[in-house]
Amino acid sequence: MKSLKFNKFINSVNQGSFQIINAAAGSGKTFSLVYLYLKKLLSAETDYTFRSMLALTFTNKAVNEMKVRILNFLFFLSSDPNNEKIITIHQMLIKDLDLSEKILQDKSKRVLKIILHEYAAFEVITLDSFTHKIIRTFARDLKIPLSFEVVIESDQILEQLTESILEKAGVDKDLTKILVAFSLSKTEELRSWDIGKDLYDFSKLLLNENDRLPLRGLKEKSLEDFLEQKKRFEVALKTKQKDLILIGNEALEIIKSNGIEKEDFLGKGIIYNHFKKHSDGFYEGIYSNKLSADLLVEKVLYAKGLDDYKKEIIDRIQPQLTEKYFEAKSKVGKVLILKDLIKYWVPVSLINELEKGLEDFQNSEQQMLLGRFNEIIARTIANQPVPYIYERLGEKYRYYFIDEFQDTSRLQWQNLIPLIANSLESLDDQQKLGSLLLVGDPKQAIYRWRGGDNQQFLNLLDHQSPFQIPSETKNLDTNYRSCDSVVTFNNNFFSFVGGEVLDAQQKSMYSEQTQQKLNNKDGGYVEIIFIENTRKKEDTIPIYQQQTIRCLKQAQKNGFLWEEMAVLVRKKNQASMIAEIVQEHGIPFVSSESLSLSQSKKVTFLIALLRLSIAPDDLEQRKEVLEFLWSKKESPMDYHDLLQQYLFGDKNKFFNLINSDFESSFNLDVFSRNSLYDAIEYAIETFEISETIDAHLNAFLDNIFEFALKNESDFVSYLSYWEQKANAVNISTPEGINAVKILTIHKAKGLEFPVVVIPFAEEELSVSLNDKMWYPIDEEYGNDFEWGRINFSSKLKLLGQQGQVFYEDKMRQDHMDSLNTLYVALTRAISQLYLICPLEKDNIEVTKSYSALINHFVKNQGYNPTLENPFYWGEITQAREKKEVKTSPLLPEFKISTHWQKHLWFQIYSGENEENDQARSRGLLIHDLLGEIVNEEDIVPLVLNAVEKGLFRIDEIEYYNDLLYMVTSHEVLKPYYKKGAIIFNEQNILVPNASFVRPDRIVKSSEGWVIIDYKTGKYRPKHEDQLRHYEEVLNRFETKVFKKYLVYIDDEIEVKNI
Amino acid sequence: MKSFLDEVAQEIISSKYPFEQIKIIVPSRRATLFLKNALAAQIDQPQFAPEIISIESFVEELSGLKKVEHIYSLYEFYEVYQKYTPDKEQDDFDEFLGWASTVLGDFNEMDAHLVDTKVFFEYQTSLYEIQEWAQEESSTPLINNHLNFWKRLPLLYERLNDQLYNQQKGMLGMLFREAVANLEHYTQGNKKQHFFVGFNALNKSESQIIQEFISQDAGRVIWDIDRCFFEDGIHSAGKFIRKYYEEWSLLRSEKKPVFKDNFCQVKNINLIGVTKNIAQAKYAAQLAERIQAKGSDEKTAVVLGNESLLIPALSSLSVAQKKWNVTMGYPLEETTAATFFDTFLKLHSNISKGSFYFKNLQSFFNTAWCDALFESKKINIQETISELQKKNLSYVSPSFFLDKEDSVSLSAICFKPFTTVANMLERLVQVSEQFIVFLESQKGEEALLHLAYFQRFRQKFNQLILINQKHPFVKSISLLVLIFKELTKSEKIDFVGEPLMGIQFMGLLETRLLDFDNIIITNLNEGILPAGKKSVSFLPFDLKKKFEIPTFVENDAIYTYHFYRLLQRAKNVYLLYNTESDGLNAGEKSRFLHQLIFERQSAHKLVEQQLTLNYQPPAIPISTVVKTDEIMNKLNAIAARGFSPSSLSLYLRDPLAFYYQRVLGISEAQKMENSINNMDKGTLVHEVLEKLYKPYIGKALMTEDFDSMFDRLPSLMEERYKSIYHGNNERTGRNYIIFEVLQKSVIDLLNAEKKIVKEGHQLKVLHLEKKFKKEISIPGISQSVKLIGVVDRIDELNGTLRIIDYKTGLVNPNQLKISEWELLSTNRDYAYLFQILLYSYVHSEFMSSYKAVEAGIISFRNLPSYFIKFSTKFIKSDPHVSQGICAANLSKFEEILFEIILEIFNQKINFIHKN
Ligand code: SF4
Repeated sequence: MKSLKFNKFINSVNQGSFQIINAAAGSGKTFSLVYLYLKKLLSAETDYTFRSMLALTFTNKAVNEMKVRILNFLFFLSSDPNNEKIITIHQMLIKDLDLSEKILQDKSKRVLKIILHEYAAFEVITLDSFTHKIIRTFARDLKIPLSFEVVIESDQILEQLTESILEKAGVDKDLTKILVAFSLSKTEELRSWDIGKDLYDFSKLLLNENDRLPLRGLKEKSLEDFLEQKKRFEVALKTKQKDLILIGNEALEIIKSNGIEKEDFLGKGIIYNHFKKHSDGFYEGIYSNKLSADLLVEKVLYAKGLDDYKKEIIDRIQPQLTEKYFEAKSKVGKVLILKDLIKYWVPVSLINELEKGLEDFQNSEQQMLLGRFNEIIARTIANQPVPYIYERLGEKYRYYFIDEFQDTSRLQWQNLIPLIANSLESLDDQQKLGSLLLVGDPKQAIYRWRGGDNQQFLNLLDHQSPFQIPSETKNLDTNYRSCDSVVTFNNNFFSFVGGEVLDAQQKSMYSEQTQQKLNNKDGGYVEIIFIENTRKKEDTIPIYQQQTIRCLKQAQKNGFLWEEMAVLVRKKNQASMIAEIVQEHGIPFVSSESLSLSQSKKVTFLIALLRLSIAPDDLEQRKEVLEFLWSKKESPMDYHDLLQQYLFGDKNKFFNLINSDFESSFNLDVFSRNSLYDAIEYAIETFEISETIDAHLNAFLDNIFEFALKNESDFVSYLSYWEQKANAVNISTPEGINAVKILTIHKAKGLEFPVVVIPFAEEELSVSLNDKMWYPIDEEYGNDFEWGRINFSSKLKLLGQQGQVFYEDKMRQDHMDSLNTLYVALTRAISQLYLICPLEKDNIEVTKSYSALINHFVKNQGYNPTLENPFYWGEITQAREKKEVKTSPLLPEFKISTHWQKHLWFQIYSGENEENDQARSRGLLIHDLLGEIVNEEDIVPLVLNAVEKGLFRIDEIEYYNDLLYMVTSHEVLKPYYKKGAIIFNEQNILVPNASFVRPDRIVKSSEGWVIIDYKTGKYRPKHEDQLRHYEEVLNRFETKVFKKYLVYIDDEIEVKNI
Repeated sequence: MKSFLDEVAQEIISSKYPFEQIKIIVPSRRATLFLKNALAAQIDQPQFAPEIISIESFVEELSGLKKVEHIYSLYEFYEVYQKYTPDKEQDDFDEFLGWASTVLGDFNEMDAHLVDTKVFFEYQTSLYEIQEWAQEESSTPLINNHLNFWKRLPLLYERLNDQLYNQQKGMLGMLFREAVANLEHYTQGNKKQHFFVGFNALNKSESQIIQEFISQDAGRVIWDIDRCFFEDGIHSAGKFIRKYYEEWSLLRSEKKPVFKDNFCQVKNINLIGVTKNIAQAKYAAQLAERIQAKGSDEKTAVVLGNESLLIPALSSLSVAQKKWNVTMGYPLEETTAATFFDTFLKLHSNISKGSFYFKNLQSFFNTAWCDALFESKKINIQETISELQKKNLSYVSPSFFLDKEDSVSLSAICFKPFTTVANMLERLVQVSEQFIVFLESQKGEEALLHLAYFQRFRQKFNQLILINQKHPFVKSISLLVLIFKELTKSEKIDFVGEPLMGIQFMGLLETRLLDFDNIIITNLNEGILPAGKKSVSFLPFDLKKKFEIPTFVENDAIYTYHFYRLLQRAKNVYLLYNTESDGLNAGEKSRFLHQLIFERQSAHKLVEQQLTLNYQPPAIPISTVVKTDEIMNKLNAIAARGFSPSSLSLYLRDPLAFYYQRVLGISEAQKMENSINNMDKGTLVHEVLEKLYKPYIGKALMTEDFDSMFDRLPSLMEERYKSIYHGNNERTGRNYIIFEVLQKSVIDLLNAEKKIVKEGHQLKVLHLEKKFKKEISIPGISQSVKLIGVVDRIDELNGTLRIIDYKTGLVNPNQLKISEWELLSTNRDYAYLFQILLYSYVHSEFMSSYKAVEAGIISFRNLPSYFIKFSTKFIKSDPHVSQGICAANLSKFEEILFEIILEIFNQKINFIHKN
């Protein structure tokens, strides 16, 4: 059982207040976290401890899961503590907290209740919402509008940003120079002139923490500084190039002056040629031969059959040549680096423009990019006194719990440290110290590319604590997820990997920390399939596809359901390749691509309509429309005939034809007169595609709805958004359908599947080659700048010590990323794991790629990998029986009708009768005004008040005054507007069992009631009926009705005595 | 079950006060209609209804002050702020707007809760001052700024209140404070009995007012709360009323109150998880309709947690369904009119160098009803747009739309560059009016709602004009946009149906006092229902607690009360929530759902469900078109007209695309792009080169010729550019860069050729942009087939004939080297080569007089390679076949060409989409 071993740990860390749990895959991480949370929650004297507890994790999903688990556990503890779901926890808590059953139960009950009713203080939240909270608290101090909206997706903003910079070409002089130069430099390299993409890519750095340090140094620099520096680079490059020629010449001169000739040297004059090339100014790829190595071990340089005296001379000049050789080598490295630095300098020099543009944009749109939060906090808030921060936050957290610590970024952690330190190191009101619990797995750190800094976790595990209190670490070492054979396979495999990697830290990570204990889940099966390693990569694709299908089918034969299987890949395009073949074989599946909105024909049809409303003659869109309708209705008409007849001609003809043939009732004008959302619904209604509304269409409506909430929601704006984002908008993964999941390893993190297939297990371990990255600028090029951009490549190795270290460090990080990804992938499976990888040559370097590792591992196990014979581990076992607990799904059928508009309109004007469809706004206004007039004196202030309310303009005052006077001074009506009259304006008269009536004006005169009703339309007989009804009601009072008037108000007044 | 209002009516009637001596105060006026009905149902003689008034109006009456609109108070506040803040530290109006609303909100709270502001501010600042972090050594600029801000607040507060008070106006909080101050005076003259009905969370003022009336025996209070919430010491639905019974001596002295036991009765409660929003709205309406269809006279309400979901919900009611009512506010910023004004303001705020962006214009014209309005003025927008498009104008000068004289027409209102903000505001009113007049004249009912929206906007703009006259703070259009946003943000269109029958659509707040048998609530997610820690405030949490100003705990308890109150008398309850967890704080089930589960009443039947949507993997598009006779005829016609090289290579690339574009004639639509498109770029360079070289046709080029070409180049570039943009040669943005790049590539080409000439080679241009038409007969096709096209340039270099195609795109030498002939028709990379070979093929006679012929491409993106010529790289090369253009290779090409054309004419082979 989980509990027993775990128990020891809980007790062992009981005293410490800084605990770390190092939790390998499937080892019950969430369980431990929740348990420790509960323990803290239930241990205190007060029931309100949760107010000072803060649990941080990464995703909303994890938040929800954790909250529900805590609540559930509390619920069972308080209502049914001996339930098997909770019994272990229950016993552990009793033991750990030394409480009686009864006290624990009561306490749980109270705490649950309080949490449920003070839920906002139950802070299990994401790190992002925590930072958001801080930013919001300090918004005014940071000059951020308080009502800012948080934007998570940065693409759109960054795109607009780069566009706005580009727009300045031809406007801003300095900028223009730079932009044009950049464009021209690109064309010189035969790259596209278009620098939009380069700027956009570069602007992304503003949001990536990994780039923060280099960018910080650039902040104070002006465009001029950048230009200066570029010149310095260019000068340096020229000098270096000249130097190289010089070195070449000098070396050749040494050779010549000593009477040696080319052929006297080994390998047809290999070293001679080397220097010759230098003297010709040519040096790409000249270090690819073995010369460097030979020189280092002082191998002789002369050709074999050479005269002895010449041999002697060569031996004598060898040190000189060697020296020249290496002198040149490091210079070549520098030349290559300089070329890169120059090449990428322009976007670097625009960084401040971009950043400023970003700030301006955010402020004017009142939007804030989530990706900037940590940076802002680090820069402006983290250095405030901690008590002050707590004071402003209005909350003082004492107990911190952080999940998935390996993925926290440097800033996230640095921003937290002061807050945590304060609670760890100071006493609260109850004279207690705070606590911190970190949970994570350094082997599952796969988010370095977006800022996650695993090293922080590794350092903590290495007892380098940023706090005064030392940490205590516990390794959770039992795997509760996978079956025995899967666990032992992984144990063996990673122990092998650990043996092969060079870096000491990684060695211990993989060979020791991966070793998990079994949880006695019998069975488990791992199969490695080898495929031919063809010359062309494309040729292997069908084989991967085939083998994937074979694996899936085999698992199916073993009794697994489709929904229990997952195919894991590294890249999105691999996912679509697998999806393609899976679809071909009729296997149900869900992949990110199949979830994309733009894949739905209904959606593209609706988009085509939107486009047509802007450009009705767009034939391509017309074709889309026809194609969709034709496929949907299976029209008897030939496709070509249909297109030929319908496509051309004016828009009315086009839609008329469609309507008559496809029995629709669509009108483009009506369509485009609606709001974006209503228009789409209108189209769905009129083309009758509503009864089959599906997940895609529904998600499309949601997308439009959300878009309209956030943006200017005109058609054009939506379409340009759609053009940018169409492929990225997905429906959410449908639940409860029996389908294979195809997903990337990154998406699979945290999930588990009974069967996992991993095709394309061939990835290289170092993936950064040709990535652009920051490189420290050598001091010889001036001290103004510290960093420039280069292309990562082996040229760094030419640079001697510094470059070598930089190169290897990067490679080491790469390896860790790749191995971690592999670890995540291999530990997802519960019962069956399939790996498909190419057969590698024996001499391949072990740490080159996944497939190299796998091949060597298999050999190491004493097997000879071949194409015919897959490698097995464990035995195939049948899937266990499943209990069928399918509740019938709740499937809504959606109708859409757009007939609500008029009905809704009447509900703006409560007083109006439905028959009065004359929307004379002026009439309604006058009606309202009259309702407020008791007598003549009221008119002036009333009209002024109406102006103040904006009901009409100052220059209309007179008009309204006059009109109202016309009523009050009307010959017949005059007496009823006199001062002193008893007046009931718009008074409700309750009528038993029949609600009430509300005449516009009733006056109680000496002769009896007088009823006045205002009308703004034409005379209708029913107006009289209405008055008579009032009369009837009033006559049941003591006083009888004496007179009834209908007052018709237009530009003139007409009074009708009834 | 008796509804709360029935109970209230009964209590009022049995109180024996005549109706004219009764004043009923309710939390909001929404429920008055229902209350009147409830009263009417229990009387036996018609009579005037008692006065029913919302607490807000009641307070206005008591205070004698008029409540100001939010936007008005912002302007007044800024005036005060400017006056009492040192210039150095002053925020601009736009920065001010970023936080001012929050401060006003705090002022309001302090007033409504009768906080002694002097004590309050002093307490806080002195608290700050004794803190360690505020001391000299550890203080930071941020802290100092914040402290200064706090120190100034009391003065701002005081002066703002004074300023408003002098106008006999106030914000709601002030009204409350003033009402309490006038209370004694009021009760002295009062003769009426006051019933306070259905209140829950009272601010200090309200609580004092009510207590005062009770103690004067001039009022009583009727709560609506269930026993189980009242008696449960923790349940937040009972938080407030419990508190009043503890704190009010008047209530404490009463005997233990008896509240009903409605909540613990039998109820069906369904918790339904739904993906996102729309499905919630639609499913909610669908449920309501289904329940209603059962024909019972039960009352049903759909409560929309997110009010913007109103329309998606309404639209899923069936056409026949007439019995429904909406009682809630719909956000003004969601309306079509808001979209119109957004685009209108954007059009003007984005003006660059005096011109509109085409894109902004397009957005503007395509807002709802805009085209119709213009059409009513005899302006056809569609035509305008296509004219602009044809002229390729991505920047449009306002004068395009304007007559000089005219200043009142629709066009003048919309497009004249505005002069001042006041002028802009004036114009906003005018546009609104244009719409109003037009929409009023529309017959169709779909215009009505839009009309109402524009009326509301006109009203808002009218107000803004007045305010702006008083306080001309807004000086720029971008600031006006901010104000516009501020203005529309909190504004709602009020729907007040006559909600007596059918399905009621409401917001949660509108359900106050009402009861329904069937309740459907959407958006039961944390952050919406309830709102959670969302509200912003500058007042520190502890301070609020100390001075009894509500915190998020109280705010959430308000929601909790509304939620449970609504459930008290309901029989069937459907609670819908979003399960999607994207976004910052999304997808978390509301605590209410957890509460219902974990504090479950034994008589409640709870069911948890998940709404599933029909998921289909995407359909595959049409990928095959059969060649009908009709199509064959068309193909014949094309053959007679001539196949161009590009159409043939299109066929090679994708037969289906060939069908659509060439057979059917769907050319790719002309898109208006922000920058000059590829085709125009090509045209520009081609034309410039043609003009440059033209004078020298047939003559050997000299270096001086190039010098004069260099001289002519700039003006030629300008001229050609202008012709593409119909006389406009303003260049900014991408176009500026492209222009420079293109010019540079022309210079590079000229330089390359000048160098050749300088080195003593003889270069002679023979033809430029040479058109050709060649008829060929293909065995197997009865009719003859024509080939047509244009060769960019034919020249002679040292006696070798060169057939040259210009390309603005990038061409690699590899793309003109071929190793196997099949690749020509199967590999996309060889499309250029195919064209080159076709040019050569049609010119084979012309070539016969030359010993050596070359064919190739000059790529403007690969000028270092200069002339890239066709060559073969067969592994086993036939000694009779040259590596370049020669008869044998051309006849090989002919074979392939015939094959392709034969395939096109083969009726058995369909047009199949090639990826
Ligand atoms: S399955 Fe994963 S998340 Fe769940 S308890 Fe185990 S380790 Fe934790």
